[in-house]
Amino acid sequence: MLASSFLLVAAAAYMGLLFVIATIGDRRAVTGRSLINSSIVYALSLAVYCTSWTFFGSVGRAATRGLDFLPIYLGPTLVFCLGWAFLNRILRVSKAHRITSIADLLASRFGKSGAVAGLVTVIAVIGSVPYIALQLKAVSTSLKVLHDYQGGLGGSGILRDTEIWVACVLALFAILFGTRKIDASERHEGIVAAVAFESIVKLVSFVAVGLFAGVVLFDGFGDIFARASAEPSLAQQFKLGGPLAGIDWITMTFLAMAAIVCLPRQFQVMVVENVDERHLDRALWLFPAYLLAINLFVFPIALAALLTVPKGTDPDTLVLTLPLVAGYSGLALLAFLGGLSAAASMVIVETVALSTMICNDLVVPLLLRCGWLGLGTRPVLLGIRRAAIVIVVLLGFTYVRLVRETYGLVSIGLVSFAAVAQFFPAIVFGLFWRRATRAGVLTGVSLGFVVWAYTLLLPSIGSQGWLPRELLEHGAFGLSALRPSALFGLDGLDPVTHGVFWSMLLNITAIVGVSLFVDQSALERGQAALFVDDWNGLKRDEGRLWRGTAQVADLVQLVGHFLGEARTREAFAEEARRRGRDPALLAADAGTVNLAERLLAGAIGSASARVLVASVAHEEPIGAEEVMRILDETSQAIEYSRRLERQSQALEATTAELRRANERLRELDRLKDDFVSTVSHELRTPLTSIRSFSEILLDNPSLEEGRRQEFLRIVVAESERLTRLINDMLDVAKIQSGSVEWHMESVSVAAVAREAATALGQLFRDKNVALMVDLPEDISTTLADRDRLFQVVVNLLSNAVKFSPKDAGRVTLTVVNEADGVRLSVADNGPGIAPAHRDMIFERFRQVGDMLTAKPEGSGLGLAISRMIIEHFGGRAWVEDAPSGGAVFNVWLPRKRAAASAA
Amino acid sequence: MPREVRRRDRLVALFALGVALFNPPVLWLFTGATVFGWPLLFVYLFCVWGVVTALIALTVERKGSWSNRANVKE
Repeated sequence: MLASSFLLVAAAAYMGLLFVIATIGDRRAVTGRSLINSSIVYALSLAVYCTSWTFFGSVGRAATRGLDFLPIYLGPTLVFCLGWAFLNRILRVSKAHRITSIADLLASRFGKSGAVAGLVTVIAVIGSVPYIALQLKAVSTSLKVLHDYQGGLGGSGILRDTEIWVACVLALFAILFGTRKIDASERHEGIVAAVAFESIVKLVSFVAVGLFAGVVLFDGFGDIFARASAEPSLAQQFKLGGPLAGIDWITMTFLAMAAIVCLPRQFQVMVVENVDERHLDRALWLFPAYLLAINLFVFPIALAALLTVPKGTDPDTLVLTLPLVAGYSGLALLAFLGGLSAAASMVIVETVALSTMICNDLVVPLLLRCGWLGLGTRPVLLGIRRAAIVIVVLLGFTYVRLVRETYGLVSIGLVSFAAVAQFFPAIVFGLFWRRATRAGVLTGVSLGFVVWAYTLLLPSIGSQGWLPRELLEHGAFGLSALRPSALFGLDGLDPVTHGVFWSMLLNITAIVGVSLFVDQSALERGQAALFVDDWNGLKRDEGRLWRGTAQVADLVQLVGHFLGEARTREAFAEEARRRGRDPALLAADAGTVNLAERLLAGAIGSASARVLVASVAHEEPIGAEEVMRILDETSQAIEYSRRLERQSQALEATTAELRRANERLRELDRLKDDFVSTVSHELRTPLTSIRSFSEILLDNPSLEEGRRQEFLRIVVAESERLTRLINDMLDVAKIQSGSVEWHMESVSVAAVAREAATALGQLFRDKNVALMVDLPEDISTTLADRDRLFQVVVNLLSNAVKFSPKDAGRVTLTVVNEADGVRLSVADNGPGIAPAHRDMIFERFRQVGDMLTAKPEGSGLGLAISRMIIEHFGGRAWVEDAPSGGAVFNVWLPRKRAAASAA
Repeated sequence: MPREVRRRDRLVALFALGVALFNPPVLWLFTGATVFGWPLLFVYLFCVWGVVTALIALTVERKGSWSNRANVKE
């Protein structure tokens, strides 16, 4: 029904279509109207995950083991739940650091380490070869099935060697669209467009086969299940087995979770080919939905095929044989194209991703070390990549030819998954644990890889008879503990589960263990901070410590070798613009050197870029001591500035204090002037009257006796007043200068008050003013100078008499105990003192009242002196309203404390 | 807490729930039986799968993308 020539033409036409799509994709990318700038195309390109393993292998696995093909797709669904927490972070970090592959990611995180990059690349290549072989084998097998089924035109030499042709076409495709240019972004829009298209073909053809099985061959899917459950051998596959099958299930879920992140081709489409971060959002559910759709029909197809196809058919070809047996060769052709799509997209993306890694992380570092990388570098790099693609495809082809088919498609794929899963702990620790070290990762990944090779790779190769059987059956050196399928006697597990368990155990233990005991280098620590702490991945390593001598011209020339002169100049000009400088004056500082390194990293990987730039920039290594010194200097500077700040604050405070003192001084100066003028005025008044009366007496000797007597009395009175004034002023001066001798002793305020009242009795009687005295017995004593206190009380009482109305005056002298002192009050019923004057009257020469008409008797210093005395005793003097009108003068003195009495 | 952070955390919780639901021993609860002639395990797995996918869609398709967030520390 299907002539082999027709088959070949169909396959060739389909490949031709892919070439056309890829070409359009590349053209559109150049003109800026990107074909792949859409979240749907992005999600479809992620479906490169579904290879011929999914297309043919899942059905084969479902036919033999039931539903346990599913964890491989449930794992990625789960990881995509972590899209924002985990995948987005990888995306951001990778974009910020121009990371081009999974090897580059780990190398960059662990101190731009060439060793890490190389190790990861080697493992990725070794792990991927069987996987690529699996695709080639699937395509050739499916061609053979289609061909043989019609009874065979036989003898067609082309079909006998299909693998080599498939390999050639796919390698050609990868070379044409994967190594067209060396670009800092390392994106291949043509390939992504083709892969997205192939994902649609995969899905459509597989769903077509599924619907065909359910609707055409059987009476609905219920019918398939019903008939299958009638057969005991098939009904068995409805179930999930016991604990062992459960462990396998969990292992496969884990492997798939690791693979969706770590597979080189997944990293390529998810991270490197990503046009816009936001595309990931929709892909977070579109991709799981795609997986769900393509897997929905796997189990029904498998059951339908088992019910229809003759026993003994290779389970991995059931997708094709089912339509063929039913006579639908057109559908079989569609299924074949779906399978071809699945295989082709995987091989193309995987080889491109691997070629980048081989070139950037293996060959370039070697060439750099040998100093063979000179002028005309770009063609050399492209040549390396092309050669790498050819080599990888050839390795796959060789593997197909040499390794006889003992394993199913899924088993081969799982072995590959287990290999790349060795990167998974490194990535997770790398992104979330700052102290994960280069040494830890190198140890862990190497150990994991060795265990993987011993427990999984060795048996698959060994089964070909190239290795002594004793090694496989009895373990290395005849130690049964080292049997590859039962390491340390762990027997009975599925080989994949067994290998994954031991490799992961050692891998994770070593990463954690070594990281906890080995220190990071300065560069490593810096990179770790950039990857772990800056969770948005937006910061670049611009703040890095860098010291060396570099010429911008050298840097431009170096980067130009790889990216082309024009592009490089443009990038440097852009940097100059960003910093607001003239491009011609751009200095070769840390920022510029980092720019060069970043640009180069896009083309040849971060580890190589670092080595290259260092060769031009003559970077001087910065040792730990130096870093410590810089830190010391910095903290010292901070300390100085802090101290300076404190001092300037103190200075400010002092200035304010000085200003206040200055103001006070001026005030005092003004007061002194006032005082002097007041004193001279006060002295002049009595002097003037004494002089004038004396002159009258002198000039008029005939003055009558009565007048003379009166004038002389005035002279005497004024002289007395002058004397009093001078005495008071001397008092004030003495108290103020501190030259008064205070005889401090324990004094009873009540006794002093009584004494004063008695002494002034005559004064009160003269003016006919009533004096009420209220002195309780139990008044506390106070520490004071008795005579001075007496002076104060007398002053207050004489003031009271002075201002009390004649004949109707009432003065009350009260002493009471208060909380911690004694209060003495003198109340009168005079005119009282307005609130505005209450403070003033304690100042010198302030007498309240009309100065012109009624000049009160007294110097005007009495209250000032009283207040000074009381304040010297630690008390207060103030005036307030009396309840009966008039004023109350209060004096409060502190109670004598025990300590004071002891002193 | 910014709403994107809250949505991201819900997705992380969905991941944890999914790990439990997609693996033994929960799966052992659904093995063997059939529902309307369909294998229960098959129906269960695809139903949960569909619900998980729909929940991711509902969470990420709302306004405000994680990628657009300003550089704020959580």
